[in-house]
Amino acid sequence: MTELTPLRILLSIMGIMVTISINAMLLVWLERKVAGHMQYRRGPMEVGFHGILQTVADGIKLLSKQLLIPDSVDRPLYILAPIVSLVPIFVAIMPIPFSENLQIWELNIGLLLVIALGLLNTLGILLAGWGSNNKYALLGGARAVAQILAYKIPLLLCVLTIIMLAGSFSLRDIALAQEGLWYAVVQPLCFIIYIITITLETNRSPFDFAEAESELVAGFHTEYSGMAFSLFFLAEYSYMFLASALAAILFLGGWSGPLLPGPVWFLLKLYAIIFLMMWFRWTFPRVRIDQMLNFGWKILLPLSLLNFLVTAGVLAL
Amino acid sequence: MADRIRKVLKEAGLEFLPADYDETGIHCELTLIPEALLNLVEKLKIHGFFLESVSAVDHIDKDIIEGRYLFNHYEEAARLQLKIPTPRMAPVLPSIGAVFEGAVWHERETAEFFGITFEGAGDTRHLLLPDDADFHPLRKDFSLQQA
Amino acid sequence: MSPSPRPPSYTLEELNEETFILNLGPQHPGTHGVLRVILHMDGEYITEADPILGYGHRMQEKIAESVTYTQMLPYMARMDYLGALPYNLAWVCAVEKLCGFEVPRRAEYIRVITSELSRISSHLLWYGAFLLDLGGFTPFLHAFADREKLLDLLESVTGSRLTYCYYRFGGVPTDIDEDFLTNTLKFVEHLRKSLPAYHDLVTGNVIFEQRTRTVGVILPFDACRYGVTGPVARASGFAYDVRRQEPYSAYPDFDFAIPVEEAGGCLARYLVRMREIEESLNIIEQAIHALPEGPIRSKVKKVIKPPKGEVAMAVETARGELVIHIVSDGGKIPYRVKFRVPSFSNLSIFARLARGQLLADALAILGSLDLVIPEIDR
Repeated sequence: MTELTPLRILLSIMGIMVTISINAMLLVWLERKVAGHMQYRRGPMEVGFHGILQTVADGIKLLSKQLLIPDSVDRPLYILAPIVSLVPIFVAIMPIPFSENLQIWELNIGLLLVIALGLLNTLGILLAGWGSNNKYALLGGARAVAQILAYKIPLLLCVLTIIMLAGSFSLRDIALAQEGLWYAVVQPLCFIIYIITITLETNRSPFDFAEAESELVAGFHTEYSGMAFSLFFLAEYSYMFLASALAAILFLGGWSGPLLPGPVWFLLKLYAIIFLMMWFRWTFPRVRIDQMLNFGWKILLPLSLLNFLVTAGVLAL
Repeated sequence: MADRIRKVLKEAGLEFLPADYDETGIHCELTLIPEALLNLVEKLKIHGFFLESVSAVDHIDKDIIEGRYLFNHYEEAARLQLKIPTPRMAPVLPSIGAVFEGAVWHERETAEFFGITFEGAGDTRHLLLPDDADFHPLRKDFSLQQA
Repeated sequence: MSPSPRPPSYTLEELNEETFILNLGPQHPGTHGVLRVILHMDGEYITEADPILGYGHRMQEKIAESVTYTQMLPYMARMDYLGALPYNLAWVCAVEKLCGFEVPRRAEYIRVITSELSRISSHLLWYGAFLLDLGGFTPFLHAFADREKLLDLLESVTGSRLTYCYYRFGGVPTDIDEDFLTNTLKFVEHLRKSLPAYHDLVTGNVIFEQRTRTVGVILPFDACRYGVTGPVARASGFAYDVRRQEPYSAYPDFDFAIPVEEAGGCLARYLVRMREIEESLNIIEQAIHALPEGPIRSKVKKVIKPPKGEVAMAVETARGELVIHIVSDGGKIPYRVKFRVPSFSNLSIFARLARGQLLADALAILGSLDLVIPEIDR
């Protein structure tokens, strides 16, 4: 366990920025390709090999756009919102182990840190919704908060179950504790609930009410354009990355796997979960907000609580 | 054919006047005075007729505007047309919006196109024309050039 | 007797402090055209819905009093541009009825084939747009891939992809050839094979069902009072189809079922339209197999001067019953034309259905009514 020297912090911040940017570019491209192929078309094909540089082109375009701030918005909140959404990710990536030794910051409460920082995305959405001074944005922000309230608890219960099994809050220890048997096999219900809740946390279809295009024009980011809009997108994809990374560590054994080196397996598992979330988006219509809240409070919460208690009971014996 | 219309008209105390369906597409056509409209319309609702349209025709040569009401039935081909003449200078017709709620929009449109006042209408805003339009386009003395 | 409905109030005193006004503006992804709906909302629930029309108003009825009968033909497609051929059919049939023109059998069959193709094209687009309203992005593209083939077919015979002007008084201007017939039969087979995939993706989906089954239920009593027609009426239990009740053109020769559902909600309307696609495919197939030989247009005068009189022509378009009422004074320009369009009556029930609903449900209802705003605005 190395300590955080200033050099290490500097190197890791650079490393994180590179990872997040490349990851975001890759995910945007992947999403458009997956969407395209599921819709009988091929997605971007022009820029680069099979359109892989499309995101770079889009990024350049967005950067060159004028940063429009409407007069009626609450300026501090409006500008703060995308920053609040994006910045916590940089810290949250730190405790994530890419392999047994490839970890920026070994923290014995790593898992807690990641989940706590993951919550700040919703704060960013709420700030955007309120600060935009626009009824559509406000509705989007309010919906996002209701969503999170309903789903944080099942998520935490699932994570607590895994913590009980592994006996530690440290992400590295949890991954190591799955030597031989992945927790997804031991706790399939937990895994399924976790996948559902992360789809919700990241505001992905079928739970994308905060930005429901057909109802709320563009939801919480109605008043954002250009670079600020792309920051929200960056935040969304980075949260997907973070949540899937957690899924890979908590349920799929982290970096373990035969033949290929650890980090490769980790990335494979991570991207498999991301692909699953993309698959959901392009297949299902949107769930209605009250149906989703019902589902969260009346079904997921009791189920995850039951799972937790049963696991606790079995472990005590 | 059109038995339902006969039944309704009998109940309302009106005479059934058959129209040539193959030529005109209408089974029965009646000309009524405005006062007789509401009574018949209520009976039509009870018998399950649906409102097809409320409109008007401007007969400038006869100096009347004729309100035209079309009713039909889901279960039997029974198109009934009611013609209600009213003087061109101050056209007034009773509103049937309380009986057939769908008529509210039809009446709003006919009112703004012809300048007809529908008595008892709750909603008299313009439907298709701009809110400040003070002309009535479908009257025969309104020419497209002057707009 | 209850009083006539009043408009919602917008004065500050009468507005409840808890409600706010949300403008589903003329520019909105979910309103299918330039429709503005002013919603009084209590949180996410709608207390009043007030549609504002007229953004696309072109005064077609006055234009009809200024141009000849033939010059009015292209205007028909501009009213309902998604299912334009039945509108064309209504106008030519109305004038033919008024003048007493005969139409050769072959022309009638061609008219039926192309009208049914247009109906399928409209329903496919509606399927995609409805799912888009609900948040499912993929079915839209599947439907459009199939619709492209259909538009190619219609383009090969009419020359247009959207605003058709294919029928003339007395028949059709150009004949269809063997290529068209084989391609159409191939398309019918292809769509029949694709429809189960559409149902797999959407109809059985729990999320879709939960969002549409109990939403926007139109009771039979309300249907009468508002005059809803078409798939909206058929989803509330009425087996009312103008092609069956007042047959026109060559429809009496064909054997097709009228899909009816009892539930009256969005899901019922969806199921009715999907089954209608299948029935239209049946009609097309029957028409192609029984297509008679012969002329495609009977000789009519260049300048149409109908005798003095009136005619009301009812036609089943993709959205419901269209009635064209022509009053002729014997000249070559109509005296009065009234278009009774189906979407007008179908939209008038929206204010009632949206009351008390969530915003998401209101948009689902709007999508399920299948509206084309230019047709309402004329």
